[in-house]
Amino acid sequence: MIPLAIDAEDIRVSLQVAGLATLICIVVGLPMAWLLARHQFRGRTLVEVVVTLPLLLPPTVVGYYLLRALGAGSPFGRFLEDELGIRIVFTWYGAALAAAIVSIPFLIRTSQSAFEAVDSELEGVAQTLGRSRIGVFRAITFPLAARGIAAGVALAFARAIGEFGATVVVAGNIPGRTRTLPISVYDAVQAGDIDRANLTALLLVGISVASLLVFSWSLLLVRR
Amino acid sequence: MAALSVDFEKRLGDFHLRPRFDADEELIVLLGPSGSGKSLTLRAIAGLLRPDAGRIELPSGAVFDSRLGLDVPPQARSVGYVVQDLALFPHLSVAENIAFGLHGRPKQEQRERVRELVELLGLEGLERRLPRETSGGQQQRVALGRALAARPRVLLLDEPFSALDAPIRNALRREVTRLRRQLGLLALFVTHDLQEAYALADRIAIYDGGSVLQCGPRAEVFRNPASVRVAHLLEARNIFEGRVVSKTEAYTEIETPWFRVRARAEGRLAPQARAAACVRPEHVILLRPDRPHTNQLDTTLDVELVDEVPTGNNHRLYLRVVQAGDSQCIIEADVPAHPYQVMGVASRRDWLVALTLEETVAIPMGDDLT
Amino acid sequence: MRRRFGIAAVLLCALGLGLSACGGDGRPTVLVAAAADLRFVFEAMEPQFEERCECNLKFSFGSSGTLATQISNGLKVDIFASADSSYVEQLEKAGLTLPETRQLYAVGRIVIAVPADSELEVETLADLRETNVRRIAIASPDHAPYGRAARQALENAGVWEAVVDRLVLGENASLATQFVETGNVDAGIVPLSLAISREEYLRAVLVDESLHEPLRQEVAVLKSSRHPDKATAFLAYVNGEGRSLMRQYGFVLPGESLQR
Repeated sequence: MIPLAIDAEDIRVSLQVAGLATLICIVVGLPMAWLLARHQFRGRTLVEVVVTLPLLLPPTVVGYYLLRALGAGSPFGRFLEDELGIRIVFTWYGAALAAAIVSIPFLIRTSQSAFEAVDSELEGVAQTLGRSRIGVFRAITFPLAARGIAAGVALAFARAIGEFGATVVVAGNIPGRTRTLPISVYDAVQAGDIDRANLTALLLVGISVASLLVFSWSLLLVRR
Repeated sequence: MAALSVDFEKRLGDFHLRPRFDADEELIVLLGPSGSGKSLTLRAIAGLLRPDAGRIELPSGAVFDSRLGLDVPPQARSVGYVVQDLALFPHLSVAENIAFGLHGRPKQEQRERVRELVELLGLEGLERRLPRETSGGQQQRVALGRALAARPRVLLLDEPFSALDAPIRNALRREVTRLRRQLGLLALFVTHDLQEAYALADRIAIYDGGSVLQCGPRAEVFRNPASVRVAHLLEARNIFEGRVVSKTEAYTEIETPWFRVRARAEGRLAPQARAAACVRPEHVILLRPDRPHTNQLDTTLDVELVDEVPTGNNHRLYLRVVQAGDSQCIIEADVPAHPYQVMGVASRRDWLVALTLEETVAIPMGDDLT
Repeated sequence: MRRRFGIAAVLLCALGLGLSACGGDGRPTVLVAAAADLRFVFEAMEPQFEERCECNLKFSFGSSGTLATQISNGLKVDIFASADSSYVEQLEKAGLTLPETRQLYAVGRIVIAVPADSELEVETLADLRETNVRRIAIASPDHAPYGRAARQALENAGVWEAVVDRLVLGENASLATQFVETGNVDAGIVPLSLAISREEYLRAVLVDESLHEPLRQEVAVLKSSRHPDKATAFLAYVNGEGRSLMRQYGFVLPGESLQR
């Protein structure tokens, strides 16, 4: 099915990592996007800076700090492993976390714009019609912002699947566990395996393009 | 005990909003220039604006009271709110918009109620359309239906007809009045259009700079403006400022720089108090000099026609008071088309005007009030 | 309508996540963190050994120093095969290895390599000083033993000063070899084992072993190993039946000398 030059495991690892990373982005990023869109609060500028930071930080720096914070060299990391049996570094969870951190700015900024584009007058009127704040979010804010949010998710997913620098530092290059497609390209180059390098790179481009197309089309579906 | 009672304050930058008025089950119009705080008042009543201090009471009870720390959230206030740009939910159909306030009720009940309102407002056939697929007048009615669906006890309407053509506006005005009576609602209607206010109001509250200058039954407010400013806001013309020179039971006499005039009795004014005489153009009586006015108590003045503006079925005449001499004093008079022709207004320039006692009002100025 | 979009979104995520549940044939996996120069010989050993032990071998190749650091930071592998002894020593001191499994399995040699189609005549380290040798690749001396050896050799040959600003450092020995193979550099100092595996693309000359500290390649099983028996079996294999392969791929075995 897939040319033998590509290791099918790498595809599985990549989808796993990008899938979990995107989920983390949504769960953490959407509330933040909504907060930034709707509320003026003290320390807001600081939050905006922190949210934008991963866009500008070199991914290897992100990976490095993750490694320092969660690896066996840190008390917290040791606590996680020894007491709770949770291992993050050098597992696909770590890779997903690294990918989530570098991808979340895309989701937050796009979703924030989407929320801001929803007229708050609509939300106010919805409240006077008896809906709770959460009800208003579900019935009005989210549906009207859905297109923008979907675009943000698409961007986040595409970024997560292409993540290399942070992943390789915090999760290493372990076939079947943390060797994602981008890392596989790097590994193939080292081994002089040009076939694997070419095909894997091509597959990566294909997946990125496909994910962006899928979500663009589903954006068209959302519009009635 | 009034059904609606508003008395709060809110500072927004330099603007100090502190409205204070009451109303019963009637249509009360909030009239005033743009930016005078009318819309903000509605927002506060709806629960979308939190006052700094004060009290708001609705027929269902108090919804805001700063001394008690009470602030009922909008969703619990049972208020129907139609905002200026309607804010129809663009992604929901007409039927879904109307049914929005009925969330949680049995589907059958919702369907029936929507059908009821669609019939009431003449929206048959439009139920599945999206707001953008309907006309301006239809959208207004959808917004009304949506606000009425959950049977609120208070209806807030913020300049709902300003973007519509005159014929539709008139039709909707009649509709609102009819609905209100039919449903026994307390309705607050914001407008800056005097004609609209006059047509709709049972009660009127005059807004200016964040405060309510006067609130009372429509006829009362028009007839007896509480101040010159209110008179201006009511687009009264012929306001002449002067001083009270004598008072009797029958009349109050005011001396202005140009003439002396008798206004109907005004209990609050003390002698020598500053006051303005005001008579509406439609109440100024135009007379030929050779057919003088009979009622002695009324004030008559020699005038000269200096300008006129025809307006549809009316003529607005600008008449210079002769005895005022060089200091220009103009009285405006409205003469309907028929009398205009019959009297031959166009044919001569010297006339008489009579300012009747009954229609001339003395408006207090300053604080010389007993 | 919105459902379809939601389903599409969830599907893609679930696809990845769900796949994590499947795969695997029930056989234990032995994870080997191995120095870059071992890539080709270990991959050659893989089929035979997997059959023997009824397990799956997985390799994570990199520079020995990087791997040692990763292991210190929490990387869980069964075996660490280094290109020298210092990094194994480091991990043993940190209590991460099973000391009784530590053993020497090969001695490494370095070569000067040029691309197969290069017109350069480079026979000795001194030749690297020629001006037409514009870029020279070695593995990074900071964390790759072969890089360290390359540096030592250049220093002892009195050539280091002359060439230091023409050096291109590869993250590990594999990458350095790649640079030479692809012609991105004019020459490089790389492991003999890699030069042999890639001899189609390179021309190589041995570097005198007296010019650098011996590359005593050591290996150990890690305490965190979940299959220490299989791991130990692999070490036994490498130092036993696998010796002929090791020789073939250019490693000098303990107690032998280079047969080339």
